[in-house]
Amino acid sequence: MDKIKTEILVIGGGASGLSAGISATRNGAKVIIVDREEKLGGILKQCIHNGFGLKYYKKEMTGPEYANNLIVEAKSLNIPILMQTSVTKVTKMQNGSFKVKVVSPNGLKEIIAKAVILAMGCRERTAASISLGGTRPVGVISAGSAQKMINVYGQMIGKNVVIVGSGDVGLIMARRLYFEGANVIGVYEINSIPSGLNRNIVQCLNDYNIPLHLSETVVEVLGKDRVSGVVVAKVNPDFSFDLKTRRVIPCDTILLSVGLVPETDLVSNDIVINKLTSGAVVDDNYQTSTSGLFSCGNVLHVHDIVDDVTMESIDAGKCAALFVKNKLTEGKKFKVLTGNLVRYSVPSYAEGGQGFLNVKFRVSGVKKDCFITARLADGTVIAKRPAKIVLPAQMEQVVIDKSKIVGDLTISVEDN
Amino acid sequence: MKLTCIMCPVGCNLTVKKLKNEIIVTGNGCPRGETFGKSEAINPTRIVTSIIPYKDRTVSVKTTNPIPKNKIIECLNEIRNVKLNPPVRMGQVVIKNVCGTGESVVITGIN
Repeated sequence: MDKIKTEILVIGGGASGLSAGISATRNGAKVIIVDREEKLGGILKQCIHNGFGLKYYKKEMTGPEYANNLIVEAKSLNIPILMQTSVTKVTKMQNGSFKVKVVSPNGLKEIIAKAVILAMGCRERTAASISLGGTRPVGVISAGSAQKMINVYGQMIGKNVVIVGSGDVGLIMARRLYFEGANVIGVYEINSIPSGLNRNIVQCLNDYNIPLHLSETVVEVLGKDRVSGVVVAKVNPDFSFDLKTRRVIPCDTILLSVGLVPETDLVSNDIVINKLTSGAVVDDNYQTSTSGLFSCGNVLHVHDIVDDVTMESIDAGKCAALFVKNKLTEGKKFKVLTGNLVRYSVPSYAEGGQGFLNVKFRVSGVKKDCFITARLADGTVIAKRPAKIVLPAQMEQVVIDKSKIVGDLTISVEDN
Repeated sequence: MKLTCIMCPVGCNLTVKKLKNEIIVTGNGCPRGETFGKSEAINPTRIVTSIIPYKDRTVSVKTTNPIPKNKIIECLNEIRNVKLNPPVRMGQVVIKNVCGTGESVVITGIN
């Protein structure tokens, strides 16, 4: 079995892994990136629509173009990249290094690394994860799989399509299917508000008169060999179905856009997982509960925009590089807690000192004209900014001056 | 006219008022919102992205700049008629002056 040694192993060659690998290399570390697919770029490869890069590159581009920017940069730094290489096990050894087993077309390999950066991204929730009722004929497909079929393989997936859930991928696919000549019957969202970004409701549904049905969902899939239709029903505020409103809608394809979950399976038995994000619990260095094991991007928590993934992964890459040089300063860590209307926040631990801490979080409900605050246990406000509106669909951030972090802090959405 | 800005993921809620000689945009968080609001009131435009079959897979393409919304379907039809021969490269122009808009369709990715 081949044995390879490196300082940092990055698992995943999408936006997060490439960004982290580039950053760690620029900060002086010896890096290897592994990716299980044939081509780098992760999910960006199939996101052929535009709207990427505005925040980080200050330039609007498509997914493949964004990926290409990172790939060109990684190649210019001569970062060794192993493709079609899938990690099967990560083990922390007695001496503190990691032993990582991988499979590849050339057989099994073992990679020894001082630090590992988890950058495996997320995966889609399935029909089973939303307990979708009815039969399981051909034609029930997740939005991201449909996106790959159409955009990468050039294969159309159906003619009359119902979309379950209003996640961003589903909205983007509604437009994409319309462009490819499909009849997009409608998008059914169980919640009373869309789960995707507003701009995607506008430019993907409204622009093409594709109906969005809020508080209504698919309660049964119909069909034996191929999907023949769905039964939809209105949803009560307590999320029970109003069965009086049941109606049958004929269709041949059902697209599921019902959420994304970090793909932490590889390490979920070895590290502390945040139950709300399904990603790792990390500190302000993006370090998990295992020393030397870092996590960033969508495997840490699901992001809305790739620019935020890049910026987070650059930070994580830098921290991992400092770690392997024994220069990562680690002081007393305080807890970062969730307060009013905050569903989760990342990171979970932070220390005081120089510079700034960027806390990312999601809210549990809609609120207009409010303030986002970070308070110490005695109520002292250490960061505060106004927000016109906060939405569950949109990740929020608050920047905290680290010199003010002298105890546990709580992130909240407040009236004023 | 009430609009949601689509220039970035923030999605500001814009109000666009058409006066005699000018268009006033409010509610925008940045200058791009003003440009979008005005354009949307006079001549709504969108960047169009699609794919073209290539070898046993595809290449992805886009219009280099936004084109009028009422030309989108015509643009997609022109893209559908393109046949590509290898080799291709990123940024390669596959249609010049698509639907008479003056914009090109270029390759954004090769699968």
